[in-house]
Amino acid sequence: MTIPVSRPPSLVTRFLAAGAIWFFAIPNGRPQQNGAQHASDFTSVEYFEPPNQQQIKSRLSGAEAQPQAGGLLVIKQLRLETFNANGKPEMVVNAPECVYNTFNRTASSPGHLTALTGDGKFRVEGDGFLWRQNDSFLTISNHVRTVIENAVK
Amino acid sequence: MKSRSVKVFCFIGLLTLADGGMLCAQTSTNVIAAKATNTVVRIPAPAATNAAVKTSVSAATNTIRVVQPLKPRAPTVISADRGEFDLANREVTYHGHVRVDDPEMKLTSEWLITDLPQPGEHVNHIVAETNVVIDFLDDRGKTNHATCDRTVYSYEVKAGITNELVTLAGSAKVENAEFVITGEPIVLNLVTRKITARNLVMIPRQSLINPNAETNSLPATRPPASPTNAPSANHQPGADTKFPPGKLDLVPEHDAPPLDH
Repeated sequence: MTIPVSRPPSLVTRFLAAGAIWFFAIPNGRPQQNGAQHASDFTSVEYFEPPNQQQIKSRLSGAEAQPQAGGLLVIKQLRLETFNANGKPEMVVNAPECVYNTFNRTASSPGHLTALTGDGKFRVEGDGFLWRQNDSFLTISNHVRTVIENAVK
Repeated sequence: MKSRSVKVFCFIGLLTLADGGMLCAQTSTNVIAAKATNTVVRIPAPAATNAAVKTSVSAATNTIRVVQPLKPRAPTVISADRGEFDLANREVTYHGHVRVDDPEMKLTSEWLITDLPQPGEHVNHIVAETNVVIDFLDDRGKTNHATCDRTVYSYEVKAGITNELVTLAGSAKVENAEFVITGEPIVLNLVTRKITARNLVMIPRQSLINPNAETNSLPATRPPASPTNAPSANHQPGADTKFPPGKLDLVPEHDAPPLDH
């Protein structure tokens, strides 16, 4: 399941909310055993501004998403990928769980996070994070540790 | 001046002072740059930067130096309380107890900003501010300790020439077991292994350990005492009065304010 995103933001918010409602209303066409609706393979995509509007800027995905009140989704096995305008991967972020706000398009969690740049030279980890999808801004709140692989000198 | 420069070369050993604009009030124990100028100090290259297997002969010292083969460098680790990754502007900001562990140096500061290079590219700009402390090793394995308010690392390749500089500003000081350098700013060229500084003052450690050593000039660390109103150390209480020692110095009665009746 993919939630496409387009501008302007007001339409984006409406579309996301509508998409989320539609999606979670029909979770894989079968009823949930625990009574709470959830879905697998959640994806939310952000595109670049024109003229690169065909290129994906960031893609936030999870193995499982469970809706909460206030337009929130609890996402398991979060995977956040960012790309440059040429389509090359820039960073991949992984976290066991997060809460995704479909209205302001942020993902946050008090848990652990790991990240890796596209070329594998930057590895980042920390505890507690906030990802702002609109401006591609990641805040790691505690115990940030970045490992930079050095070239042969 | 030439003979003084030779003394400097001998005293500092592997360090080489250059730049004829440096005026040294130099003795066997003190070296003071008395003129506001750019002064260059050559520092030994760390072994980790030796790029190829080769043997070089130094014309100045007639010493043979075997350069180590290519080796992968250990990673650089940056740790902090908090980090902000601005992927749109490709910039990372670290706040609180920032620590950088690099094979060639250790740095601590309160915050640090580094650019996030494109995949496959080199980090070319790092700024660290507030209580910056840097410790780095030279090729003799000796620790150099630098402190300042702000340091800027810059890396640039222009026309095939690599420029890699570390600029220390704000109460900048570099010290090791042999000398202390202050300047504003102090620029460390990582390619040429030279330190450039404006208003450079370099003090050998020996003079700090023994400030009363005989010199031909005033010690750099002991400026002449400014006159004060405080009594001198050998001042005897009552020495300027007619009272015997041990008595209080009394104010003469005629200086007392008149009493109101």
